[in-house]
Amino acid sequence: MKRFAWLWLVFALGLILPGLAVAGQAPKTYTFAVLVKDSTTPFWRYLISGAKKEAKALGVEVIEYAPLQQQNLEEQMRHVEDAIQKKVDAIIIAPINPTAIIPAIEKANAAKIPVLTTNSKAGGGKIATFVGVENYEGAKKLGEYMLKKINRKGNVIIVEGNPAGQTNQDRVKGFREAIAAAPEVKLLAQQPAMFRRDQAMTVMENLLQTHPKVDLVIALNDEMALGSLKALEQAGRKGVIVSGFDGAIEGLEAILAGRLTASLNQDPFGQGSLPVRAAMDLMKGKKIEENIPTGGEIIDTSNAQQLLNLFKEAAK
Amino acid sequence: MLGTILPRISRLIALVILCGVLSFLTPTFLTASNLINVLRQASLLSIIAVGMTMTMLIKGIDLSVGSILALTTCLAAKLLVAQNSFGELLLGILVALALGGVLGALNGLAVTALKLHGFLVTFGMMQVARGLAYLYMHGSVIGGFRPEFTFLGAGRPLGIPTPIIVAAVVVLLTHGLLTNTTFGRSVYGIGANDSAARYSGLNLPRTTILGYTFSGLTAALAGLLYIARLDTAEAQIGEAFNLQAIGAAAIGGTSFDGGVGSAWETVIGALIMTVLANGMNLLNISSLWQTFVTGAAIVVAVIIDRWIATRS
Repeated sequence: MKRFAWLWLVFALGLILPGLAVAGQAPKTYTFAVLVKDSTTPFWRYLISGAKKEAKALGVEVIEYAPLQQQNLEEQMRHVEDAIQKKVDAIIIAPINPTAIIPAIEKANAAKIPVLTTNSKAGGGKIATFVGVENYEGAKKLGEYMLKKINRKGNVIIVEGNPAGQTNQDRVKGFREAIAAAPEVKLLAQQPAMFRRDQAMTVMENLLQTHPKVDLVIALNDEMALGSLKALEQAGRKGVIVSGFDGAIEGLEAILAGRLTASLNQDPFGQGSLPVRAAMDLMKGKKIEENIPTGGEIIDTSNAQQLLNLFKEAAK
Repeated sequence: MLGTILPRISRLIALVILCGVLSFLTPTFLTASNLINVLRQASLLSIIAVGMTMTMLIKGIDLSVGSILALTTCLAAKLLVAQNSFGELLLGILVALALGGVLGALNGLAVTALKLHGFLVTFGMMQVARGLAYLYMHGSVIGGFRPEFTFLGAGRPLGIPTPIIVAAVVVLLTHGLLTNTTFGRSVYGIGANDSAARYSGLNLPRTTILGYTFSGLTAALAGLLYIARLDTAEAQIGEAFNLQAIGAAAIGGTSFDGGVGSAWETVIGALIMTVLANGMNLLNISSLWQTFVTGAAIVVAVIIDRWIATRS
């Protein structure tokens, strides 16, 4: 029995280490909780790094909360409660689901902790501000841009994320409206891949079996765009253009390499730094805007390098 | 005659019925190109699921396969990239497989030495391995592997995708291991009757440790094929595999009480799950309905299977 005592040690270490990496230190002047949608997707890492950088500049503390499981709503609700228990000065949250998060926001309201939303909107409760891209408008704009690339005629496939999520629904609405306005464009299929690259690859492989002629693939994030691209490349399908959404490093590199045609800049750093700045303004008693826009511009070969440089600088 | 054969192939019949319905609904389903596509997609799940079957046969389960897949491939990925030599590539593959085996062996050791159920031990390992993968990758991805390596995922020797060939070899080997060796007898012995197996002189702790080692190995192997296909390693990869592999084994008739199940029947289970996902994409079934349809179809497949098995 004793021989295996070290096993416990390995297990214990494994459990504690990730905790240490996430946990904050003792509060300084103000403490803000930042709640993102998961702990692994690069996008959320950039958002957190933007928040931390701004916090450092302002001399405030940021506590990071991220569900271990992607898009785990129940875990995010517990995170809000935990932040309330810790008596943070403000809660900055990217809600996984706009409706389900309302009770948690109301709890924070009751505890007199200001709530700021970033990236995705909440459907209710008292919200100090929303920081982020208008997903619907961004998607419509990008959709029109991509349709122009195929001369507003041909066959389109939409690869969507989590069909129940608000972000997903807003983007789908924007793209579908752009498609509906082009009578010679046919939407062949709209299938889910949960914002995951591996799942998008499988979905695209299946769709290519049944659709011999595809002109445009619209993926609702860069990860899925890259997975779809891989399926297209391995199937030897030429002349299909693909768009993403997010504009993080890998997407930008794919645009520069001529694989991805375009993406929409969400400015993940801004979605981290701007709400921290806004929360600080609130602490000082200043009024803040109801909507604080980030990014929103189409990324193609003309500006991808410039954005990539920003990421590289931020990594330093 | 029919009465003895039917129950043994009841799962196969359920799969055939499912395929029949799909080929009726869409002409694309029953084309050579789509069937190869389905087999290729099912091959990774099959490799993991036969490992899962091994642990279920010895009254255990392995919840850590998805995490072992992620950790082993992330740690090996840097050795596999195009800038490295062929030797480093081989080393990377060895590292991934060895690490998968070691992590599996740790599971097995904990199960035998601490007398814990496999569920608890591998639940811990699931988080530990995933957590280490997150820490190591820190949100980044590693891609652009050597062409010899991506061939494992995307190549087609003699027109057959490599993953299908690898999966066929793994399934045949596992089948041989389970039916023709002392180890195999020991595996079924533990499942069927623990104490009888002990008295008959079979080495139970060794069998348990080897069983979990096997599962870790298959997870790492499937992981290598997976990142070869994607040409990218990332920490969040393969989260869905835990439940899918358990599902494939269970649909294939593997018992949760141990002792009942086989490699080829698990492959039928994996095929049923893959065919379903493929069919829904082909039919463009609304995203919101897909989870429900998957669940309902699996329940129906299992009912058909049991109905045939008990009737005959």
